[in-house]
Amino acid sequence: MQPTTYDLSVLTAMFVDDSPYMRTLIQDLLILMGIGKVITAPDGETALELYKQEVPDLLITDASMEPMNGFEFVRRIRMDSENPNPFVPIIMLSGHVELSHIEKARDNGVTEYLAKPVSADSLMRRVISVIERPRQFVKVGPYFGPDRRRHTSDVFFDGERRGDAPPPGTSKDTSSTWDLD
Amino acid sequence: MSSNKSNEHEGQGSSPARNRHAGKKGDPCEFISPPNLLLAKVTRNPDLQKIVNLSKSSFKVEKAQLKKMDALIASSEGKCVKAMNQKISQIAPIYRDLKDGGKPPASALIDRIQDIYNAAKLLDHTPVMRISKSLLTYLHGLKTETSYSVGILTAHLDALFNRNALDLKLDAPTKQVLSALETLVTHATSSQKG
Repeated sequence: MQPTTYDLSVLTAMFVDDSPYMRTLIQDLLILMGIGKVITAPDGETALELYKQEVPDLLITDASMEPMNGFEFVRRIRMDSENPNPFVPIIMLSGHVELSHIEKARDNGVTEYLAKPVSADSLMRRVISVIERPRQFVKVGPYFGPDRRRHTSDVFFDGERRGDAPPPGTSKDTSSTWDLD
Repeated sequence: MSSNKSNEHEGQGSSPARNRHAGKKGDPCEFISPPNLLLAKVTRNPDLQKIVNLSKSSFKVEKAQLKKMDALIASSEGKCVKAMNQKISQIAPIYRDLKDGGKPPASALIDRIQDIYNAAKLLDHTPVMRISKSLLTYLHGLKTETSYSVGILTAHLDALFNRNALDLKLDAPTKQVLSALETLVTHATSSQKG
């Protein structure tokens, strides 16, 4: 396939963060990326109202906010029956890199997780990733959101896929472990 | 939009994430693949709605664009770091006073430490955030203006004034310093209550 540049100007993104500095920074970055319209909100509650009015194509949210934090906001986006698009890709941008925090984000229906401090490259990659590799959704018990199991095909972009690799013990195999998932 | 129901479980492994669903083995799974509206939109090609996973990205990143974005991040961070450093330097006279054996009133510090915490939050400077939050917890729990331990205050201010030695991504020594300060405050406040 020939290299291409997507026309991101047709997209509307929403960024939710209680820090005015972060709101300005991420808004400016998304506009520099070429995204046509960027809406911002200081907390989950305001964002939920704005979301229903504007129906953005992409959401980026912080985790720690009051009165409604990022986790609750994501859960409401996924679960609210009045929501115009429960499949919207959601990127959580947070300074917490602890596994428990990331698992909480995943269990509330976050599509991608991005650790602060943000870099241009990491932000761009996440946005392109949700466009090119949208997650399959799953409804199981009380959970509705992106399938929480990551498929290997989502991870290997350029190199050899696992299916193409020789089995362990053959001449090309140099690793001592083998992923059986 | 395609959807298929199955009785597939979350897996039979023993990871904590899987164990959380151990009691819900009978829950049916419904898989839904929504159309890729974003890809169709950005390429202006409605046929691409069917693409659920591009195995190889055809997107070309413009390096000039990335450079502009990185420059914007660097300049905003620079401004914020400057503001935070300025706020920290404003408490230098109180720090010196403490080191010289003085006992300035706690109220002289509270607002300034709150300002430092706010500035650190803007920057996501976790070490400064945790130090200032721990100090605020301690100061707010005091019964009188001067009923503080000079040691606890000085330990926090030492850490603030030596913040450049702390790792933003919280390496092990940084974690130890922060945990030690927080533990000091937890013990001090609980013994005050007791």
